Amino acid sequence: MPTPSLLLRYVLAVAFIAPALCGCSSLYLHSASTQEATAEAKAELDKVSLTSVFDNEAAYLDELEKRENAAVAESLIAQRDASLLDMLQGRDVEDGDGRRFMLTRIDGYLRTLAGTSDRGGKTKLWLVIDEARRKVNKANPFPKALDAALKSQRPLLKAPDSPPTPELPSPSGTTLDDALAAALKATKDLADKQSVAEKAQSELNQQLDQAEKALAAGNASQKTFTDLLAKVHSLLQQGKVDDNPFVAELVSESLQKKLDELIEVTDPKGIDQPQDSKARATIGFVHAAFGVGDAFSNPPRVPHPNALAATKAWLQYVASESEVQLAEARSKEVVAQAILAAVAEQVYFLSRAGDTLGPIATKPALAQNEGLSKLLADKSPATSRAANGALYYYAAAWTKGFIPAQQLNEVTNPLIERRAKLQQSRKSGEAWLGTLKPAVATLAAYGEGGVDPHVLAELLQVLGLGAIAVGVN
Amino acid sequence: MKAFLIIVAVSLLSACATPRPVVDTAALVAKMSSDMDRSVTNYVGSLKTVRKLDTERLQELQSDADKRRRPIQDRIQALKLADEVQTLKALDTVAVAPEPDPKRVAFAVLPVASSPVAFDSAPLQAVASIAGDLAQPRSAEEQLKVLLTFAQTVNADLQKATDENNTPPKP
Repeated sequence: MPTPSLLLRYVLAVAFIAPALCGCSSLYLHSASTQEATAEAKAELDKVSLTSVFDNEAAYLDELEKRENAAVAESLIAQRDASLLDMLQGRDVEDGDGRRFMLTRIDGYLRTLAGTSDRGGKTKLWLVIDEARRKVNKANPFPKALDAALKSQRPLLKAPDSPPTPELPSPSGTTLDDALAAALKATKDLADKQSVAEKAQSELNQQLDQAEKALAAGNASQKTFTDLLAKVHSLLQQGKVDDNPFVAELVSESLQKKLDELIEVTDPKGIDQPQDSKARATIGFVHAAFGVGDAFSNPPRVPHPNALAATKAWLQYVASESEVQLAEARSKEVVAQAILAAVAEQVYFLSRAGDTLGPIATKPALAQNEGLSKLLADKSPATSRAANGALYYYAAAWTKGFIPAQQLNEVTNPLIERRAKLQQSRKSGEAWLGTLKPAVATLAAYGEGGVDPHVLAELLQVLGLGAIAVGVN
Repeated sequence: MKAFLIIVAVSLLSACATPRPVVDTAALVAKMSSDMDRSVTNYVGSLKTVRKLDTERLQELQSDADKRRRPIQDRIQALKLADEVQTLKALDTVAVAPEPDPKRVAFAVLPVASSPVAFDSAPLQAVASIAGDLAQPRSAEEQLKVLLTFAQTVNADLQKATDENNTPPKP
């Protein structure tokens, strides 16, 4: 049972702060257990590490790329070497001797890759590709130059008069026309999307300026900013529908600029009084867009710094998401160009192999079980040189063409998507934490605050109320 | 006097209740932490599944490469036994590996496997739990408990100060 003195002290303690609590709703009693719990929440959140998950996956994908590239290369190298052995030995081949086998391979692959073989005429595919390479400059990239060269020279290409060789499926699965179309399209798509997004950003900036001016002049209403917000959402939505990451990047760039302006005008001089009409306008914008602060109250209510931090985290997420998509689109463009370069190498070296083999295409004669080894040992240097060159070029079509093209198709392209998804997940994780941290910091600040019993006791002591109570006892 | 005491009591009890904005924030934190934990855990689970499929695909690729390589090795062995120097030399000259590329290396030099991916759920679950508790409205009993603890602390401080004042100074 508490003594009268103790009761009096309790009453004094609570009665002293009661009027303050009534007058100010933000005052509350401090609780040590709440402080401990909210501090623990903050400490626990600091322990959350998503980086290790994403770094682990990034390292794994790098390793996977090496392994898959190696496996694809080994498989194609084996195919190359098998055909080289058949050409050299002329054994077990369906097309007679080793030289005949090589010619059918060259014609068959060229028919698939370039639509025709070029061994029957003076115009050669390797010369067409060389010409395109010579004409490459900043304004005339390789795909454009090759397109022009093929358009003008292709009608002059002529297959040999012998019965047409059946097409052979490409070991890397892409024809020159397909690779060229993909490279041209990738470049054009990116340029078109950038142009559309720049136009959208210009429209948005105009509308932003108009809204700010209207608010600064006192002519704006909540509707002004609601309309603006509708515009922002419609642009972001359109960007998603059109698969145009440039739109989100540029829109978020404009929005972040506004947010930075707000942080700038509110931060140095305190957040109680916005300094000018410009500040009011930016608050209005941020309020309309993100539902923090209120520009239409008088004086305008400035958003809490934690709300601004969370909003900025969200905006950075929108921007970084579009950056990831852009990086993916650009990587795919680079890969499309690399595939074209690899397929062009296939055509170039096959064409050169056919051209080099031309002078010894029928003579000296070879029996069914004979191959280029016999020609390599021929007394005539021209014959052995031609056989050697043809072998080298044929092998190079695989080493510099089919193998890298297949690696790009089978390994690099799928991994671009996986890496882009990984990056998106990383950014998404950062945005989660960026939003959670200010909120948990708010809770921790709440836990630390409130009317402190020790402070109150000191105050009572100073006022002498404690002594009175003790005196009663 | 009675009315005054009632006002004081109500004010104090309301001061012991968690303010509405804090409750809202805590509820949001609890939900977001749980969602994030679930989301990351699912993500890590899906990574493990995809890695398993990767391993199977790589094994297929490797076995395909081995299958193709074996007969060639037999043929090369036969050429060596037959002393077909010309053929072996030509093959050795043209059948080269693709140009060195850090991303394209032989299996032999690759590390065995990367460390498994894992995520520790405990910190996010702790945040969700603490915030969830804070978001729950305090019962009258809990509010009174806070009030009593507060008053006891004030009293203890006052008692201590009084004791210190009443202690005679040492000679």
